[in-house]
Amino acid sequence: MSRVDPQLRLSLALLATLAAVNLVANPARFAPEQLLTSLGLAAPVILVAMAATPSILSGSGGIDVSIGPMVGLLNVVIVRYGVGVLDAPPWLAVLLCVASGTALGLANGLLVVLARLQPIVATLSSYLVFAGLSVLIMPEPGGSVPRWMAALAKEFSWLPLAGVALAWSAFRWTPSHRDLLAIGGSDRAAYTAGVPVDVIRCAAYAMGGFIAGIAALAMTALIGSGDPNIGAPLTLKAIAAAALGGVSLAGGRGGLMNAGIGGLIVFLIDLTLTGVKASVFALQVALGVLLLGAVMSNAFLAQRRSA
Amino acid sequence: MAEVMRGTIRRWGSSLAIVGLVVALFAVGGVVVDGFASERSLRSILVLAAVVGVASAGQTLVVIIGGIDLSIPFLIGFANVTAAQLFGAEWPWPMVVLTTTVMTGTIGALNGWLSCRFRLHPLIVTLAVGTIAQGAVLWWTSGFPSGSVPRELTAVVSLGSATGPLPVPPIVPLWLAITTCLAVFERWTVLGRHLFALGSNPVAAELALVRPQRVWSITFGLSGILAGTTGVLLLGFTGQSSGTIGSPYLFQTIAAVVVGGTPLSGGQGTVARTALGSILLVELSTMLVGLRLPSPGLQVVFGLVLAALVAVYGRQKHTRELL
Amino acid sequence: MTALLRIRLRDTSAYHDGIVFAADEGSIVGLAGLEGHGQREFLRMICGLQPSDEYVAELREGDEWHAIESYGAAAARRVIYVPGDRKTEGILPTLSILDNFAILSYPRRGRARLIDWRRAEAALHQYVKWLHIRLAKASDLPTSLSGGSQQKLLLARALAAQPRVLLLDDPTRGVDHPTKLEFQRLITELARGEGLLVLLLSTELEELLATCDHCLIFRNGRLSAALDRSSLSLDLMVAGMFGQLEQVRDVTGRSSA
Repeated sequence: MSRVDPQLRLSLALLATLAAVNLVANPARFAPEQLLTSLGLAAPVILVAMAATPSILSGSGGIDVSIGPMVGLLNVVIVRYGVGVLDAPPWLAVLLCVASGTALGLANGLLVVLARLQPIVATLSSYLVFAGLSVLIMPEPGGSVPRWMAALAKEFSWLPLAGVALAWSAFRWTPSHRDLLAIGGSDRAAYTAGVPVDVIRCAAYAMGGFIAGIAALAMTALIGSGDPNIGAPLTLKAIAAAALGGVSLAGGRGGLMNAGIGGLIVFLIDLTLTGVKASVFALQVALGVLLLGAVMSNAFLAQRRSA
Repeated sequence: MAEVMRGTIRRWGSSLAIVGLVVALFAVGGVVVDGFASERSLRSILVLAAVVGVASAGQTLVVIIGGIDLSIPFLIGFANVTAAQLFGAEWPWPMVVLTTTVMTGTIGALNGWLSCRFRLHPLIVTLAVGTIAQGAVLWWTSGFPSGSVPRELTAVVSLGSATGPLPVPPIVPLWLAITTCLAVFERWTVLGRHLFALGSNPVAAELALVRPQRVWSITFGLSGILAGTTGVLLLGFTGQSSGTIGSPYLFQTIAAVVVGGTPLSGGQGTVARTALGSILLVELSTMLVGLRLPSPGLQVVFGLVLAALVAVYGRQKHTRELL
Repeated sequence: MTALLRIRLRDTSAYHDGIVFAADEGSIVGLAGLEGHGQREFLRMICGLQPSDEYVAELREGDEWHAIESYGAAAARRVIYVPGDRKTEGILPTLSILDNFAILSYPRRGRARLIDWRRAEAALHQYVKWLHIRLAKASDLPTSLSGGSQQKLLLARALAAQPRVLLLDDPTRGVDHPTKLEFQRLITELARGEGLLVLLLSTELEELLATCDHCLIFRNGRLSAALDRSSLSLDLMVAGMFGQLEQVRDVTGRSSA
């Protein structure tokens, strides 16, 4: 982007402030040896924010509120079946996880495009299904992960993010990326320009699922076990992060970079509040305020843009 | 007059279908599950439906104007905890109910006002504000809500109590009274008609002198009051308060609205049908529990049913931009 | 007859009283111009929808003149606007024809002031007869009506609010020819018979020629000419639309050069 979007400027300023605060309060965390571990802590939130983004970009009320429980479901599936039952080698585990995520995302996409459900309703339904299935598969948190997976949160914490960044960059080179932003802007205009609106929209949800698969790997690596309840709160964080980072909730504007910045902001807020030993409820209030502030600034700037 | 009556009968026609479904499902349940059709079971179904029904009535109104209220579960928890604290501080119960519902009503009105004034999607606004409200009240009680529940409240919901000659606890006629008042409001007041106008075509409605900010604030405010009422009523059930007691009601209220035949696109629907939807929902879940389906399984089934129902009902195009 | 509505310039320093135009009740004033030359904005200014930097509309009540500053205030003073695009701005698609009709004028009864549906339906039928609206049932949806009938329904809605000033925004757009003629008849009857002041924005010059007592021509966002019936001709109107009439003449013949 040659001109810097005001929303992005706001987010970067917020990011810089939070980074500075944390650097001063807790420099040890940012020491070179610790950097990869800290990245491992931040990666899940950043990746879930990225996973929520393609569906938002696709416009026409596009959103995926099931993204949190989707990651949660994949987490319990990896631990219970991938590790527990199959004892799969790394390449197979990763493949299965990412493929499953894509399939779940595709299911959402089909509900939106074929059954013509409003995205909020479609993904609310899948939210319920994924969350319920997570608890059915693994009623209590437990299980463990093999050494190679735990490394994804430590020495190799950069790998999941790099993987997504690479895949998205490749996508941006294709004309489909431009198509995605086009349908996000206006369905009708894109359609008359010959864009296969339904295919692209469906693909957007599938892409979100793909990234959710990688997010699930990072999350599993971090917590080292399966947790059926980890999914639900992730949705709020993901959407707040995407909006904060500059992804327009109306669709058609933004990208994974924005989501990444937003995810980093949410992570740093979490870190700051944990640092001051604030109650987990204070964090909840903070995230709610953040989400509200994010959508309000998003709306203000959108209004100004169209004026 | 004749034509208005004919239109009303046509509306009732599909309501009749829902009533039929309610009865049919009850019959099926009676056959498939032991003790389903017993008097105790029936009372239990009505009481549970009443709780879902009160909360869902608010959701109905919000859906009619074209919005959605995800703060209901959080406000239920908020009210639950707040009421318990106030009871514990020995406030008289009318004051507790009043204070709690005024608080949740105000938060609701804030939701509506913010969404309308700044053109924000109510989904996100209510999610954010609800999260803040629940977090705030849990922060206040440090996660260990205390307090007590007065006997009068327990009597309102307890299965054993009766209301005068009726063999049902007071919560059931309370729910019916609320539903009736709201049904009159919807159909026979100008403000009620304005709700439908706004949900039908916001631009035309404003040109027809409907005041959007006022209607949004009042509607979401009502939803907040009803969520608060639900939270207080739930206190009578368990005797212990919890900030997360409202979480099942997120999808239950939406499901009751959809199952009752009100499209999420707005501009139509009625609380009466949502009331029927609530009964249907509780029948279904009671039946599934009786068939030994674990409660997360219930959630999965609801998710699938919701998708299926909206796919059938939600055929119509909605022209408003959502986000 | 003293005027009912007048348009005044906000900046009155250059003119003796700033009054650019005045209209009497019982008359029909047309608004014409090439597409997008300000006539629609002017009309919407008069009903308070779109405040203008240049003009302000004033309404006489008794002996006093009141400026119209907001849409709600205009409606309270019975200045009623009938929107141009019936599909996006007029019709409420999920509500019945009866609701669509009564939304501005629900009759109420009883101490609780509840809606009296019986009276509302009776009122609808009166308008159905008068305006020749072809409908099957009051409880049907408005989408079952033809374009012309939908437009008449919107007109009925406005009339039920008992306006003194009626603003019509291109009412015969997309309507068949016989219905256009019906509208012309109706508008004349409303002005002459009922004493309403009708402001009619139209893209059909013949229509304006046939009905108007005065015609305001717009060019480049401003009022460029005000022609009265005696000087109303197709040539002059077109000239005005192309900016070839130099001065704005108001009804009394005063020019504002």
